[in-house]
Amino acid sequence: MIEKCYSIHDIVKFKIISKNIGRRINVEYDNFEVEGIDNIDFVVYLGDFTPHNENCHFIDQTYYLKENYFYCKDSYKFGKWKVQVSGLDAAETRINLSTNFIGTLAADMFICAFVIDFFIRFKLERKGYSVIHASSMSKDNHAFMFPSQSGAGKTTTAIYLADKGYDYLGDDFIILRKGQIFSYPTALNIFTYNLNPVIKRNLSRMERTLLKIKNAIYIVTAGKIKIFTKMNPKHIPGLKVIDKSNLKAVYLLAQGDKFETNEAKIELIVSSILINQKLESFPFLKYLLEYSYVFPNSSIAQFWKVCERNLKENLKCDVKFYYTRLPQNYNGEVFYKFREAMECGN
Amino acid sequence: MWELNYNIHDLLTVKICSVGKKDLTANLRYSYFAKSGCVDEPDIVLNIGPFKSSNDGAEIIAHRYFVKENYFYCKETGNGAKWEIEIFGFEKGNTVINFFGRYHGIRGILFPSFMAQEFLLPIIEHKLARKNYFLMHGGAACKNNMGFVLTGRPGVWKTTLLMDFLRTDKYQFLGDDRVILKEDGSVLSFPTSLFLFSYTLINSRTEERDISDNLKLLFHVKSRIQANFYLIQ
Repeated sequence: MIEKCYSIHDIVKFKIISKNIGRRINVEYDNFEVEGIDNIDFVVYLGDFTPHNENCHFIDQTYYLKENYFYCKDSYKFGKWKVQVSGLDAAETRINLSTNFIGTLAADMFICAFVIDFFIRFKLERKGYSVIHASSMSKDNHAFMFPSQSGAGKTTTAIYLADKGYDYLGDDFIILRKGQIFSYPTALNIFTYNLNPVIKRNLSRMERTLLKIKNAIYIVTAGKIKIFTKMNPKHIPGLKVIDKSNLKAVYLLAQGDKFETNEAKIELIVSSILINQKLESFPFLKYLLEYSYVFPNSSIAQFWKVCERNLKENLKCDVKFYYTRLPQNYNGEVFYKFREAMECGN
Repeated sequence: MWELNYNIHDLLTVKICSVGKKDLTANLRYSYFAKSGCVDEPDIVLNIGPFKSSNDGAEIIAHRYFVKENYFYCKETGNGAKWEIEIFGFEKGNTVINFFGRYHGIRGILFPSFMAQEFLLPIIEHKLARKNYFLMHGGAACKNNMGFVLTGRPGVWKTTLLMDFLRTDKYQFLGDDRVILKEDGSVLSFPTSLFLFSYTLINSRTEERDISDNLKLLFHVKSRIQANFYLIQ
């Protein structure tokens, strides 16, 4: 058995225990790895297990629920998994996860994104921190945050700004507490559409060819198989990862016909971030709803309300809000205009 | 090329048009509300068949969903099916749905128009909600102008219990999957085709039926509906 410990800014600590922790999991949480930890928030056991489904509510012919306990079998595309969570509401949560071959192969999705990432966010939110699906870059302790749906330009904006001397805080998720952003440096997800010149320079010929093959697989399978190239941001030359910074402005990114940026109300930003957060919580959004259906008075049923309260609380400071539309061909020219608008906003 | 018109308790009118051949299931789902003749300005129009989307200028979300004001478009695969859907009047005004898609395999060949109708339900729900009616997930039956609603997650014997009510106590059927609740506490029927799974039959050994029996049962149930307006107790 291999046991690895991870700590996120000493706020949330977790352990992964498995016979074999694959490369795609390693690269994802490389920057959080620590030697040993106490006061663990959750433990993830990977591999086959026997569920403890005695005295359970059995819902929808699928979900086994009892107080603080959840078990189900589920699938998405070609991946299948069974997951058991015990001590859902406790200080230390225990997660058992077993996936099929495809699930292990695409561990970054079925193990990291679907389960571990969710529990990191879950634990952070319950400690009063907001976790936002956004990228964030900082200069002179002034951070810009770019929340958006996937594919609207988070990573691209971050990489362009890195080229202009901005420091990196996160490109997929970031942590916010009382106007201060904490970094969340997980692996960058590179695909052909967000491959901009800065990243391309840092790719070896081998990696570039692999990217083309992955894109071909994506097209041939009509979007069914999408393999991201994972890169640790700390290994990209010219990208400096910093620990924390003060939030200065929020640019909510969306796709449009041409570049356009306008001031926005905080209500719009809050509701967009919250909807996005729910959409990103697949499949646990559904699992929590199932749990709330049986235990409507549990603290789990209040989880999304807690997120909303946290977000309003944590954004409450001297921050400016903008709504920015980016065209589909997001090139250097568009970025030049965007950066101009950003620095005028200062 | 065929066309079906529905009128849901004079609250909503629905029209389904298709360029394909009419299949067995075309009129199955909402047949209780079927009206002969044409409906003027239906609240919902569902066009089944290939269409050309008009998603220019829409905001593209997650490379898949095209959203404009009052407009939605997406192309998706999943659950053994593949479809393309476009909705005009997504939020307000009359709604037009263009749908093209089908299940993979034998289901798709036999019942090409069945899947399209699955997409009608959330739109009907939304339209009713805006008129202060609530399309509730649950089954209901009534006797002497008193309605009983059974609600709960799928698989908690709603249908089975309801069938017992109908069979043993001469109750009248209001709906199996959905019913419409009105502000004043009355319930309106919403009888759609029944969903019977093997687990529904575990507790009712006497009701082991095949597909033709199911269809017979459906017509039987349909003929027992006499009025459609009862008070809930």
